[in-house]
Amino acid sequence: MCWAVPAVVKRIEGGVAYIDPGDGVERPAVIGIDEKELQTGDLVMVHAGVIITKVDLSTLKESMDMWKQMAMELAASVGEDPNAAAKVVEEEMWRVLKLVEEVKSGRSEALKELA
Amino acid sequence: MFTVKSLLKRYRPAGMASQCLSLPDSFPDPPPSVDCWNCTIMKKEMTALEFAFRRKTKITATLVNYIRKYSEELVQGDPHYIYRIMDFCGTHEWTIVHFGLRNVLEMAGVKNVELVAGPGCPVCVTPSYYLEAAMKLAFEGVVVYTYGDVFKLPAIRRVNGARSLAEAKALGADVRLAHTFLHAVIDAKKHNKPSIFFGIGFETVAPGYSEAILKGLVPPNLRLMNLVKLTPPAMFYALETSRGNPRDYPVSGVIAPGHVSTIIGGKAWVPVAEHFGIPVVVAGFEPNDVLTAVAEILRQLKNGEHKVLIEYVRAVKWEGDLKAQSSISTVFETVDSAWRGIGYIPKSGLALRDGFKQYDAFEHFGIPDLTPERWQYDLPPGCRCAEVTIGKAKPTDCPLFMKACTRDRPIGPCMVSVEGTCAIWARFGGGGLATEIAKEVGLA
Repeated sequence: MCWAVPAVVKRIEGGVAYIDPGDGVERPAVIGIDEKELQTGDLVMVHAGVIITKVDLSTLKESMDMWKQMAMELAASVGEDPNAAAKVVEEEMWRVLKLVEEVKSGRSEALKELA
Repeated sequence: MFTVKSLLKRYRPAGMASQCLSLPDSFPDPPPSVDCWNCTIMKKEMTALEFAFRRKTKITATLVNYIRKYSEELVQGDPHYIYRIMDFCGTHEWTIVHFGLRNVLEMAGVKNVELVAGPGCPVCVTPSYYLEAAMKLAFEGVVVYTYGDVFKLPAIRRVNGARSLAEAKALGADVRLAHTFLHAVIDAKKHNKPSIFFGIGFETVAPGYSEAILKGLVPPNLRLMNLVKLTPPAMFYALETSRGNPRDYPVSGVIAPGHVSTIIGGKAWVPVAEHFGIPVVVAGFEPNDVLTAVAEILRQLKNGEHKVLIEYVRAVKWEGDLKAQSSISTVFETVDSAWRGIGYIPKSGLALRDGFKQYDAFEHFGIPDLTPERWQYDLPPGCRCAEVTIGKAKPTDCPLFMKACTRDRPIGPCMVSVEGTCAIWARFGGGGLATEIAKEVGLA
């Protein structure tokens, strides 16, 4: 039973969070995790009306590093250039990472470029 | 000509930008609204996230090649051995079947890896006894709240002619669908009639029940029929069973449930990895997540390792959520629990502690709880849901699958929920069906 939907926390009142999963309708959700760490605007996963985790976008780089490692190992095993293989993964993830970085730092140029 | 941008610009209320605190002053068009969902920043974050794990085809190709490389190396070690990887969670099975990952691996020439569905669907494993008890209460005038996928779940014995809560409702009982426990709480406060919540689930829903109780949100007329089950003991059981069958290869690796692990943490799977000596990867639910998990499991198998690794780093921490764990253990205690068609698995369920018995539907309505002596095999004749649940059989091995048992008229519990293995295969066609069709029409 892992079916969960991403949603944005819109307000927290009386120990209950009101979340919007993307259709503009606010729904109440029980805060299953530490309430002190939750803020309005957070991206969370909601499972059967329970907030089970906060999504941490800064970890996307860890995912990319894991794929890069695999791509490099793969290339080395067939005698290709590992750095070129790593570059392919980096290029695929570049826009994603840049976007996350820009959004986190509040800069807007990247969004303008992609809009 | 109107574009979305020009329309937004036209109807932009004056001063709106200044209402959003997260917004930089120099923000470009289209203008953001104060509504967080429609906020451009938030939308971009969601799109970025989805793209990273679903549509990056070069990364997917790298992962498939990586899997093929290790699969070939493993073939050299033992040409006939089949490495069975269990995707424990129903949602992982959904990803695998919906995105055709079995077919992707088959087309890539990976012959010695088999993805096996596990027991990760709480609707499938809730004993019929509790369903019958809930139907009986419904006919006695108690309001029964339930999740949507329990609504059509068939019981083994009819109650007043009804085989499911849906049929009970059709016969006049007051059965109400609730998306969440909180919706039932809000609704029950309005009518003040005696009510129960049919509370199935795994560790993911448990903090929802415990927090609602601890925060005093639950009205006195609403009681919880708590049926929460725990996943690690079920995984032990499924893996143990897979070893006990001499005709089958044992499970060589596990893709552990991502969202259950947000609560219990990656650490909860260490005993599994150590006891069975197999790799366990906690994975997310996008296709690249699952392929990464398969690739990592094969890499560990080739190198003779058996570690727990979290692939789903964006949501899961090693220690899990300590607040949720403490909330669950305050309200619930661990007990032996019955799994439908399987029987009792030790320490695999949660029950309300003595201090919280005022919320207990069993206590209040005098329903005797199931015991190992009273538990009876509760699947219909011919139905192989129990074997499908623990990965011993595929849905296509069942004589009823898509003949007598369909999504419209389910006979076994695995055909009901969106996470039931049979329901997923019925909807998207599992087991290499797409490859067979492709071959027939000359595409493969």
